[in-house]
Amino acid sequence: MAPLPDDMEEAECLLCTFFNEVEFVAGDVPARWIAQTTPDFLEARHVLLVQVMDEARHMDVFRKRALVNGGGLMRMSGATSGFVGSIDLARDFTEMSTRLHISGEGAVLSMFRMGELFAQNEAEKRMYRLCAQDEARHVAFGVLHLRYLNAAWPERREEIHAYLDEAEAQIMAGQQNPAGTQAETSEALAILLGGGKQGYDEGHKKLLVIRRRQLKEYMQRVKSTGFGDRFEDGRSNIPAQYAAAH
Amino acid sequence: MADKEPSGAVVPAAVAGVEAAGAEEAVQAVPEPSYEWMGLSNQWGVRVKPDEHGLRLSALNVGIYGEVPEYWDDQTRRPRGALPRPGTPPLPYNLRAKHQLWADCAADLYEEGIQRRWIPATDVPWSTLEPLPDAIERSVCQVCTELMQYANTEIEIITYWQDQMSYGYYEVKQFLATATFDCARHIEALRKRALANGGGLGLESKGIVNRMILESRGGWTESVVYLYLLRGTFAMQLLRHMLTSAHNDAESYIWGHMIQDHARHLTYGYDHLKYAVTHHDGAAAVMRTLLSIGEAMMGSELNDAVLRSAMAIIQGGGVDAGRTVGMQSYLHLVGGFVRDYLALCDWLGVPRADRLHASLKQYLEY
Repeated sequence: MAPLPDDMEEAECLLCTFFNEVEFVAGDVPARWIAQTTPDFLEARHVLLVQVMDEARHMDVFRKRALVNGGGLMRMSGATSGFVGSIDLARDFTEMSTRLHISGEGAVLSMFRMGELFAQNEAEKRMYRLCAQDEARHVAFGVLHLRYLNAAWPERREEIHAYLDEAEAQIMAGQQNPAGTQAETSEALAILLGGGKQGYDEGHKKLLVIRRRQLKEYMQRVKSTGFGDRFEDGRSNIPAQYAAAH
Repeated sequence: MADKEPSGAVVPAAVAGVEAAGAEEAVQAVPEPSYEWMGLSNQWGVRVKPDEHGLRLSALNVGIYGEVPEYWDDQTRRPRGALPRPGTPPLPYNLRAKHQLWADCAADLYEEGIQRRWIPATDVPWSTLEPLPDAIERSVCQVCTELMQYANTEIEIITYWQDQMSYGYYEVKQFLATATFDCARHIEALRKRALANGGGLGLESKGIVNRMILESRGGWTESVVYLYLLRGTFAMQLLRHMLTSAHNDAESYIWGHMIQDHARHLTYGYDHLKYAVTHHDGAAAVMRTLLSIGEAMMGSELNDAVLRSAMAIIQGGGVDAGRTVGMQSYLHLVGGFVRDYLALCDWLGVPRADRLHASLKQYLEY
């Protein structure tokens, strides 16, 4: 790993500080639910236990990246604390999974998948690629859980639409999405994507591509769960956000 | 619920700062960056280096990043060493004193847990399983069933406490994440063994000690006393004896690797209890009280005939020898557990020899 220019190293370290902070939300919160899930559903419990370990490993790798190349940890984001609709505050497993897997991790997965665009060396590319591989499993669980509910519990459709309403409010505007409009990590991403502060504008254009991809993949996932009607009957404004994000 | 936009209305752009316009004319202006986050770091210029074992978690404890305070006065998810953000609402991270969860070995145990994973589906030589006499197969399956319940209990108590452990001691959180993953793997391997050789799952245990562990809600340290000092020490003896009695390479692989994983869990547990006793006034007295209760429960569970007879049959190689040699061997196993337990209590500074509950003391003659 070769030294990076200061602005690039700061941007990368901010991103790593963010991920070191938020990744274990996806460890702590599923852990809480595992403790309340009967061992009869061992397959679901085991998937979540794998997720907890994956997130521990993500905490590990992002902290290491922040401290390995002449940088350090920066200011925390506070992105996951105390707001209505946060993952911590879910009172139902499906509510938690929708917020965590479909919305939160879905957005992060889309970003990790585009890690080639903002990674600066082979170590970082591999880091984002492997994180994407893990995250894809977590998101897949969430998608398949909703798909199952849609088929087996159709009386819960309106309830789940309500969870998706809340989750969609956070996708771009919330601070949990590192590429979102309100997150300072989006500035860091634009720096990385543009090759430095001098290329910020160019980097911002690429950031918009990431946002667009996050929205598109979110819609694809929700459609695959059987709840895509929300994009056709006007309930969701994600299609409008997607159309405008260019 | 999102309102439906009437047709023809202006569509708001996803990016702040965009001029409202007709949808087909919307122009994405680049918002002016603030860069207010730049330069905000407690310690910059850090360059940790990997060694021959790679870049391990313990190598990150340099400068401010290695300062592990005795009390972590932060109820947010702030990574240790990162700058706080004023106004961040607190979260219920209630375990904020180091003595409530710390073990010096946690970082190294985490790395070992990550690096020594095994895959029951493909690493266990399942093809070496051959039919066993019915009584032995049933007994092996019963022990598998029992150990699965132990693992379930360990998962549930760890995950109950995990989201209360503060981020200041992230090494412990990360290690415990690997511990619960280990337990999931054990359940997987044990279930597969029980269903792979003509047997099936056995009887559910009464779960006296399981309930005691799960009801230990006073603190994580209190749970560790029951989970690792009492139950875990006994489980290690079980696993060792199952390894010496293994009937094929598949079983040898499973028991051997479970021992490897369980040893890490016990190392953390013992190390944490030692830290608690030496850094917190009153911890030893609390442990004495807990152990007085716990020994009685453990003794009661050890009286249960199901596990006892299953182990005797396995170690005797059948029902007939199980009544003699096998049972002697099992009683020696339990005696070994009690001796290990007493030695650990001495090491912890919570000696139990003079106060050991009679239901455990009886096994010392074996």
